[in-house]
Amino acid sequence: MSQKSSDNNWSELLSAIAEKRDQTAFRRIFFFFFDDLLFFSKSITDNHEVSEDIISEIMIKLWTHTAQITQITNLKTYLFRAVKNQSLNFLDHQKVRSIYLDTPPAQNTPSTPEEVLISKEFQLRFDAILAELSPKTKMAFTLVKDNALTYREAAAIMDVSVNTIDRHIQIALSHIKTKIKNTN
Amino acid sequence: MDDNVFFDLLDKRLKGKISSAEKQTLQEYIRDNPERQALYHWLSTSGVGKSEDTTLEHKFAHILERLDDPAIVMEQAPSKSTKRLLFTRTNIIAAAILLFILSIAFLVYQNHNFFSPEGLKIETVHVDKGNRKHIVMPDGTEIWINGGSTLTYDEGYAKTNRAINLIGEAFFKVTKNKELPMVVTAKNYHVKVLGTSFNVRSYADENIDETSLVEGKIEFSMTAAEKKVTYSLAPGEKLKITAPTKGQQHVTATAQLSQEEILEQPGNYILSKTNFVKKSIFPTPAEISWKSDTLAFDGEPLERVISKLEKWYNIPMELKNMDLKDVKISGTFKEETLMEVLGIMRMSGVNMSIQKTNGTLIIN
Repeated sequence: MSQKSSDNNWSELLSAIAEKRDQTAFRRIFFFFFDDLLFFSKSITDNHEVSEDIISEIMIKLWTHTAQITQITNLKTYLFRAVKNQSLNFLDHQKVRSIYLDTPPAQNTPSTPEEVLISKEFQLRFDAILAELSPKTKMAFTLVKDNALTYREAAAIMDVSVNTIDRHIQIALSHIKTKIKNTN
Repeated sequence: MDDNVFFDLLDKRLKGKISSAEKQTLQEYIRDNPERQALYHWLSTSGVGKSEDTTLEHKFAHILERLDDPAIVMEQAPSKSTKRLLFTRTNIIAAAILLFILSIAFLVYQNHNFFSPEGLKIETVHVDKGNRKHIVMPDGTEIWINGGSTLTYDEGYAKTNRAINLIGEAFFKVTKNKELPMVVTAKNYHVKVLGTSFNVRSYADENIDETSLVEGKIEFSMTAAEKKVTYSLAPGEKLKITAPTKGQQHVTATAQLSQEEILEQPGNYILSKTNFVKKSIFPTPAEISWKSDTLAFDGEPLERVISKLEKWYNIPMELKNMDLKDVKISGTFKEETLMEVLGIMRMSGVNMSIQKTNGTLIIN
């Protein structure tokens, strides 16, 4: 994603939305970011429908909060940050609700036959190893690996320093290293 | 070779700070080690899927619809407020009506052949015997279509209706939408759902139809002999619709269904219900395994097994020895050829002979 994003001048598109109410600009932003944002949100909420709603709300805000969007200096980190906050909000509510209602948290949605075919035995194993990491390490790793963001971008999204992101990635890698050793 | 060096190189690669010499070394490290190769591949591959343009288009359209909702207020009027007049409610509705009329006019002009009674263009998806297909509808609903099946819907799908006609077998994973329920019509019955996963088998040449519910809720309704019957199914339940067959006594059909709960008999149809998940010995119930390219039989009569094999392998078959038609078959097949499947059935005790005449397999 990072390579492609240089093709788009986001601030130009944002001012087109704010000043000209340009739907084409709005559409381009939606099409460009939707899959990445959805994947990132799902890695937090583990709930496809909730994550789709979160993306929709953020996109609608982009169209309606015209005064704010002209202030956005980096659209990519702005969107990822918004998605992160909303997704964590959902988790908080979930926790409260599950304490009150004493219900188990949402189950993993069953994977479709396609997903099963695509994911090789190895990949499943790495994904499982990734799931054992702390939420923050996992988030940093997802942003860098799956969303192809730079350490600097990931740092801005997670509100931490670049060094902290570096540390998270090293923790993730060394965890994978020990896990692989144990099974050999 | 050293794991520590390998992981250091991976770290540098993720950081985007790897020299071309180090890239070379990394390649050497993974060359003869499948596990390292897999890890390298996994690290270099994004898990983010790429949505179909039609799917994104639909989701975007949904957001635009919501922007028209008076509950969503603009936080601050844009500086050039005159432009906003373009998007007032009345203007949008007027434009939509105009566009609708124009597009209908265009379609009528362009194509006289395939229109629904409402004048909408009909889309047809046909899958030949021996094949299977997976499609994603504009509303995000996923459909797996089994061989020898035809599925039709009109262009109002996902806009004004979610109506699908089915001849054959399909598995539906329906996207939730409370305003537009999905209605699948097969033969003389309808299956209505809001958002769920279910399988419908309804081939024209088979007298028993099946509707199996995996999750969610569905409402089944059928009209036969001027009588309308309606049922709700719970997950794991299967509704079997046995049509009256020529020359076959109603009594024998009823006897075959003895272990199943018979719900009703409108006209000469028999509606019966079973639990397809509980009684199944397979990890995936036989009713839906076909969509993962596995052919499975769970105590099915040979007559029906042959009908399924015919559609799976696209080879005409005929059961001559009617004494065999109720022999129960169980088993799963994935990569076997038709001859292998028949061979396995014979070895496991089905006393039949197989003979090929004019391209048709005759079972005796």
